[in-house]
Amino acid sequence: MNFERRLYFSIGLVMVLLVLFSCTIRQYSLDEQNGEPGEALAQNEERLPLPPIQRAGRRTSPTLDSQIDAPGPQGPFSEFQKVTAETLASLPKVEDLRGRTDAEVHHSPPELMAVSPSLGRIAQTLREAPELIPQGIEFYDACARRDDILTAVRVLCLRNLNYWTRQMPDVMQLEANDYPEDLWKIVESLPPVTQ
Amino acid sequence: MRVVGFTLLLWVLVGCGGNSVGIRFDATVPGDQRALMEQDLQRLASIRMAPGTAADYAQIGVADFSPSSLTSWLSERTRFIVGEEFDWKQNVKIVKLSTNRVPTVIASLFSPSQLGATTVMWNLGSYLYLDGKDNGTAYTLDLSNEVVQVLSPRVGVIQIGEGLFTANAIDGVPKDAYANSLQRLGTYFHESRHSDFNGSDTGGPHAKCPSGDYKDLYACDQYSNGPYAIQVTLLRYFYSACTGCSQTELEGLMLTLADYRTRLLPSPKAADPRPERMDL
Repeated sequence: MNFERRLYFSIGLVMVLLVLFSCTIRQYSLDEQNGEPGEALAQNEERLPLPPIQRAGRRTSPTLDSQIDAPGPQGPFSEFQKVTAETLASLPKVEDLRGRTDAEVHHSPPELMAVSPSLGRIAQTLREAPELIPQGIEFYDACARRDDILTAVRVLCLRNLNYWTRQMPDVMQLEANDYPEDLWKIVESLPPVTQ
Repeated sequence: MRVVGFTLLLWVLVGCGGNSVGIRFDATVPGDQRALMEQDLQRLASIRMAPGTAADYAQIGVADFSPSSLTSWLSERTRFIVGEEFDWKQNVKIVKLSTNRVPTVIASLFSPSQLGATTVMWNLGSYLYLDGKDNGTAYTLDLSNEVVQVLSPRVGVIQIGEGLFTANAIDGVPKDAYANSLQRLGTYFHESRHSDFNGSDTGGPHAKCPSGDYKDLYACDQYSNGPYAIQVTLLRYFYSACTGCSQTELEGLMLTLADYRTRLLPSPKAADPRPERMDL
């Protein structure tokens, strides 16, 4: 019996050593390929073009970066990042309304309706893939801070940002002063976000 | 009992070729647009909204948010729908004035709601009434099957266009989607509110926005019970009633709601919504 136990223990030990060895080799080869760990994303895909913003009180979960960086360029993270980047670039601007007549803005401008599918897709994705919520928070934060886009869009983004940061306080804690008071007033008058 | 009575009323109205709200459609309204509007009105007649607050009821002027209260409110203010092809300048006649002329635009407040060349919706009757009032005259309007005397902003003649179903609709969602019906219903209530008020407030004209996205445009509400104000209130409840709607539908409704909310000026005053009437 003792001999058998020692044999099983030895086999187990060898297997553990083999696993550790293969992991070390794999990490080494990844580092060789990508340079410093964490740079894989920068080399393989575009980062979300966030404006240079102050992030007072912002705390990012240590799991966030590793979650973003781990999958390859075709993974759900990079795909979602592409969606948020494209949406951020296509949001309707206040400038678009210049030259419009009273009659033309009597009802909501069509540009506002045109962005609904993109914003709807982001909202739906966050409900289906919770691992993407940190990226969604990043998108809503960037959107709510932009003063060149239509106020209604900023309001929607701040409303969603408020909701998701309450769901995941480890990702980011909202600093109310970072966003205009007028936006908050409108957000508070709207129906709450529901899951 | 009330539900049975209301259902019977609906059945009679639909059976008579009308719609649940009793709104009459002019021959100039294209069939597909009429079908969508009738579907919207049917949905209003069966909508399940959360109970409102007393302040919300008072703002709009309803006893509650039951389908019967809402449809009744709408039918008092929107009686006729004319299509984009309806040429009101060709069909308006002066009742009491020495010179025979076509009304001129009195202010930007009541010019048609257009997006490019496409009309969304506007309250033609209220506009004509105000023009007549300003010029010491009154008009009649020849519709397909009847002649309407324009003696009050409550005449309820509303013109619609393709824009109501395209530019005013949530992208990526069918025109007949539930959220698009709710979106349009918000517009119907907005335009219907232009059938109210009296004195200098007649028609509930929009105010010039002092700042924001619509700075210097007449796209804001100075009244706490004006067209944008009641639209915002109703859209809040419509949004919550949009159960089973997709995220695109919900975000679209929310964008509209937020947009109209930005148009409410701070410290608004409630205007007397009772409509005035002109005596010939």
